[in-house]
Amino acid sequence: MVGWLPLLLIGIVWYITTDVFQWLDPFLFPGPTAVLSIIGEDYPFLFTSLLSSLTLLFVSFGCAIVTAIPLGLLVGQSKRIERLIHPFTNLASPIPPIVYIPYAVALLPTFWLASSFILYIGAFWPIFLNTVNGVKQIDHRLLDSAHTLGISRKDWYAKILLPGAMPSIFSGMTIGLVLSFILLTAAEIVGGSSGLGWYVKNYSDFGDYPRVVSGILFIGLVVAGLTQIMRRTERYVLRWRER
Amino acid sequence: MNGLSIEGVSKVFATGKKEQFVALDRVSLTIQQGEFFALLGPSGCGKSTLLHILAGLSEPSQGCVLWQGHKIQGPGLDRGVVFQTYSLFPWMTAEDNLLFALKQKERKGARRDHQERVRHILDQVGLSGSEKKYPIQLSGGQQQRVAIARALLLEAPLLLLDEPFGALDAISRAQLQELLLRLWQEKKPKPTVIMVTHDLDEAIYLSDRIAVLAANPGRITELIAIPWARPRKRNELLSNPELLDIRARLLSLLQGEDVSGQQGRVAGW
Repeated sequence: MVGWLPLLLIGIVWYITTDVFQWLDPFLFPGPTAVLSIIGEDYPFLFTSLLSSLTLLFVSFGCAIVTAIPLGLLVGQSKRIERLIHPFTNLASPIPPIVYIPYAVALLPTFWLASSFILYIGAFWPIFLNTVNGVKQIDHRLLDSAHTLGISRKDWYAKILLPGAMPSIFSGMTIGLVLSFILLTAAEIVGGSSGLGWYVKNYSDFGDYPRVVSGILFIGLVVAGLTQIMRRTERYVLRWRER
Repeated sequence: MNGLSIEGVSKVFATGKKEQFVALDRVSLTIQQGEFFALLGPSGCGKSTLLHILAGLSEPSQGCVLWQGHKIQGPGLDRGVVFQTYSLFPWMTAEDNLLFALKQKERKGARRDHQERVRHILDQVGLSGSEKKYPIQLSGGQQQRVAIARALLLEAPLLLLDEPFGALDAISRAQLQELLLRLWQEKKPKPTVIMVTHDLDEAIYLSDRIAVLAANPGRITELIAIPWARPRKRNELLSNPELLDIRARLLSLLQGEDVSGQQGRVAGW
């Protein structure tokens, strides 16, 4: 409960400086009453925007997961493959995905495809690199133990390497998810015609700051919700680490 | 030919561009089927390296190992292995660890049949009620019980134990020694057991024969038979003069190695 205190305090300060005494410019700094009434009034539109954003996010993030994890397992278990692709990953992984935006827009026919490509890149690298690392960190004694059981190739990947690397994979997915979300809103602000980023951008063009602040707050709630879901999933999947 | 025959096995590790470490130097040994055999020696004598070669986890630099007339090439389910730690997969419950191992051996077996056998063996090692626990929720002794259960479940004719009780307290250690002996004797035919240990009382109490190894380079210095009828009584070890003689002999062999090891280091200066 104590954890909610700072949040409550900030809310009160916000309320006092705007709605009560109007110390701040009411045009640029709408108070909680205005913002809450906007959210109440505009929520169907906020939710359609959210749906549009989440579709883009989940498709790209999903693609990143299903490609980065198998590739990461493959690369992580073989020193030879890792050495072979190391120069490439070293060069390509640190490139900020944002710089691909203009090129992606020029290359790909629709905004949707271009932004999902950017989101994919953003999520791919953290997941891939963490999967590789996770495999490398599996205790060699466990791998020895697995070898003595004469494990099939399929089980080797699915039942040994994947769960063994899972703690690290989850850190990668959490970073990838947050990064994808940043890229998502950025892409929508730059060139979108729907979604939460576009919502904020669109109303700020009209100087409708109560709606801008509502959009920002709503995005905050969504990200908090997503990371919470991620954390719950992680705790369930990695329950074998808890005493 | 039955049993296990180790023929002139050497293992050399490169430790630098030109330096190398001779972990095993032309070790030869024949072990009978159904024998309980201990490899006893100080750390660095290559006893674990030898066990890894027997398990097929590493290859000898020279020589070869024949098991029931066939050359050992790579790991296989005809050998059950228990390590000191990390035998079990931490992401599987005790029961799932065993089911997983059994599934590797009998891919077409019915799940219900597998489950019954797993429950039965867990009961035999005194772990019924802990089936659904993950390794981290089990004590060190319980984890080793599961690991032993796994090796026995696979019905491997050769059991390779790499200091299986090395990380346990004295009480759990004695309990697990009894358990291992009981399960080994119950099996028909008795599996061949090769156990790596640095505990000489453990080696005497459990084994039919002991090979004493020395380090630098790793080699067998002595083979000692333990003339002690089974079932054995633990306290007899301290009253039987013949066994006390053997114990004293083993102790001097192990300690003698320490001294010569130091001399070697001085000579190296």
